[in-house]
Amino acid sequence: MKNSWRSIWLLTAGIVFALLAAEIGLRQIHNEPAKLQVMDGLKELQVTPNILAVSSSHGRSFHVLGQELARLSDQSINLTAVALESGKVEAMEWLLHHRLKSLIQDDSGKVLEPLSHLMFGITWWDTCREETSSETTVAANAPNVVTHGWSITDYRNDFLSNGSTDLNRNFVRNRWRQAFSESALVRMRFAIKENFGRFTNFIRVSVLGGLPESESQGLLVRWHDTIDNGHECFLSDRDMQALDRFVAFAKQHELDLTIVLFPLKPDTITAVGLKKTIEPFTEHLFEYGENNDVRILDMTLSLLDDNDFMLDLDHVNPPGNIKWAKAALDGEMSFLLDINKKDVLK
Amino acid sequence: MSFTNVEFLFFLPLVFLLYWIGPGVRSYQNTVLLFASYIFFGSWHWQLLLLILAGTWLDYFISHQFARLDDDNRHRKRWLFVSLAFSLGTLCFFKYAGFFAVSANEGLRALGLEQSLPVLKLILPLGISYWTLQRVGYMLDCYWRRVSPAESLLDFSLFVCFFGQVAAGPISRASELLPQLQKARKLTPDWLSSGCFAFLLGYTLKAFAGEFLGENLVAKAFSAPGDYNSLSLWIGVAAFAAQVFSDFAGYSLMAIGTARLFAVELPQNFNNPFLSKSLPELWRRWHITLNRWLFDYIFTPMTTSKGWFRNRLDLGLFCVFLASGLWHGAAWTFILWGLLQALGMIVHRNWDVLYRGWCRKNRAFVTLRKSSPYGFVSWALTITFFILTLVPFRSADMETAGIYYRGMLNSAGELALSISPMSLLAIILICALHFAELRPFDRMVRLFQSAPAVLRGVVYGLAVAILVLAVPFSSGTFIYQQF
Repeated sequence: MKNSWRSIWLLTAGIVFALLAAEIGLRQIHNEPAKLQVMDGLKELQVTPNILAVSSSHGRSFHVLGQELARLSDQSINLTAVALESGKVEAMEWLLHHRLKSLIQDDSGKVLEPLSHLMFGITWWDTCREETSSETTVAANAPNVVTHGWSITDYRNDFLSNGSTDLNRNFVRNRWRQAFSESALVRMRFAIKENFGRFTNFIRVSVLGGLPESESQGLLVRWHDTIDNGHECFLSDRDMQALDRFVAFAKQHELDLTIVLFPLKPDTITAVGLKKTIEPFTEHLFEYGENNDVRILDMTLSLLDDNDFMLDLDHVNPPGNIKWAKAALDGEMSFLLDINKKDVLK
Repeated sequence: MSFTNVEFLFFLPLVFLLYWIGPGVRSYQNTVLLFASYIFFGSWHWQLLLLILAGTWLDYFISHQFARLDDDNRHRKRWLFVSLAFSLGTLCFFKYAGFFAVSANEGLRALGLEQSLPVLKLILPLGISYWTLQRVGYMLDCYWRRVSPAESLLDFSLFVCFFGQVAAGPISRASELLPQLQKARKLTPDWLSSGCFAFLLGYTLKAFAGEFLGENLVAKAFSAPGDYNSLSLWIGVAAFAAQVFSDFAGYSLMAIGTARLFAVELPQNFNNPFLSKSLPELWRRWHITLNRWLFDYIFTPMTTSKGWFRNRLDLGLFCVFLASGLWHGAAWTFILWGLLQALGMIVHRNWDVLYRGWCRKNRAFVTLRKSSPYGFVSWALTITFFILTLVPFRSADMETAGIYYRGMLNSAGELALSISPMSLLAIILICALHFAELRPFDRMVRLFQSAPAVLRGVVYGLAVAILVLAVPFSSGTFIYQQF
């Protein structure tokens, strides 16, 4: 069939119309803002806060903690949360030394005022890894560092040495994602991946109102299995050495340090998981805190219940975040409200 | 950069604009395309650009030596040797050095010897198997005086490295592509619409159908064949046939679509292969450009030469498919796959000779061959054989292939693959593509093509929106790019 330029223009108009209709339609049904990532934390760090909280994707809960803290202190105390998707202590420590340090220090290496407190939110998972060669780079073990932590210079250096690889493409992909973060289609694409895993699950949840019982149960069983066997991989050498470096940084700069053992969904932890993974991990961290003079707050099971978590059984849902922030500031974290009185932290 | 990377969606329109807004002369158009091609290739691994540049300059120079030494066959042969040694030498070095070293070390160990050869871990240059064959084909054509050497180095460089085909073909003959590059091109509505349509259809096949089949069925079955029941293993390998078709036919369509946007026509690479009723027909429909290369430059010269190989057709087939297996990868699994194809082709050829003999004696055999039941049995045997031979092709090693074959007959595994709605949709898409040329489906295609342009645009737009939402995140790599 012969085409004319007129038919090409009409065809293009049809395509543009359909895409605009899809974009507008999706805005009606899905208007969630993009999730906080490292980049958002870096932007916020243009203004030095009182407290810097570094964490895995659970850092989004720390963001809510910061909002609650600012409200209770009449905006006199600021907390900046930096959330690194997929976590791991080594990756978070890399972030501190390679991206955050330059933003919280002056040229002489002194920490900028009014920063006085460092928080580090972790779970047992953040210290878990298969045995890896000590010679491999942080990036080789942690694509999340490449995706969210790298600067353009990191990418350029890697590209010049290794060319375009599956690993360094993570950086490029994430840059594109940010460039199109205003598009509802793109936001939806990532929301489907992050919240539902795959497109069919999204359709099922949208139509049926949730995943079939068998699949939710299957996910719970996988979590049980993961935590039950967590003791085989936790407290890895690489991550504990990274924790040492994290602590050393805080001490060197006279920053008060709190390590928060972040809440987990209670029904993902079986009696076996509790005994073999959660309790030994907590005990080890308390011992570590004692030996290194670091405050450890164990919130693993104390403040939230099953209803406070998302469908992924891992992250805290929005009402849960508020509940956690209020309870924490009312209890073990109440000292943060007095952070401007320097002697409180000593 | 790859066709499915998001940066390609910006790279392509940018090159398109630069190409068409400039003066419509050959030198400008080819310069833009060549520059873009080197960026495309260099984005993979910029240091390896030197390899493709060296090969291009060497072959350009040698092809002109062929013309200069018109009557001096001895020197022409020497120059051909230099060219082939460089092209095939680099291909072997990058692709097979590791395989030969590992195999040699295994052999030495089997003999009880301690010595071992160093195993080099090399980065495989993007598309080396494709552009090497295209260049070798050009050099042989020049040597045999089938084509004249390219006069312009610019044209020849583009012929070797055109970004539309450098990563994974289709492998063009010099007589197809060079004449197109040697004259100025003009954009017409047909080039634009057919290019965009081919690209979108290719992307759908590759990123949607191929990925869902791979993720939901193939990867599971082949990762632990001992755990799945027999039916699941049959489903797994059949799904692999559909996946590899979607992946590569999809890629080829994207390449053809890309080239059309610059008013260049690349050869067809797939022609509904699952409709084939014999193995030779299948190999005329599947990866067409590789197979015709193998027949043009290995089979035909070998079996029509004056030497010992003359008319030894079975041996020719054996060599062609052994080469095909080796071309696909440096592993024993690919060699086994090639040998199985060779066996199938030899059996078919001899059956054909036998049957033709029967036909000459009794015309009823001619009628039988034209009947539907004969056609159906031929089709079923062809496709089943092809699918079965994909087991070693996909398996990580010979041991896994053995477990897979045994499991297909009788598996103790209890796991069962379930076909997800997306996989089913992918299978429907592949079937629809095959049936589109058959009655009555061809009428539906024509009906859609004659619908108002705006309406067709809306359908395409919605297809793009669905692809944005549904295409899996793992869809960035092509199976055939690794060969």
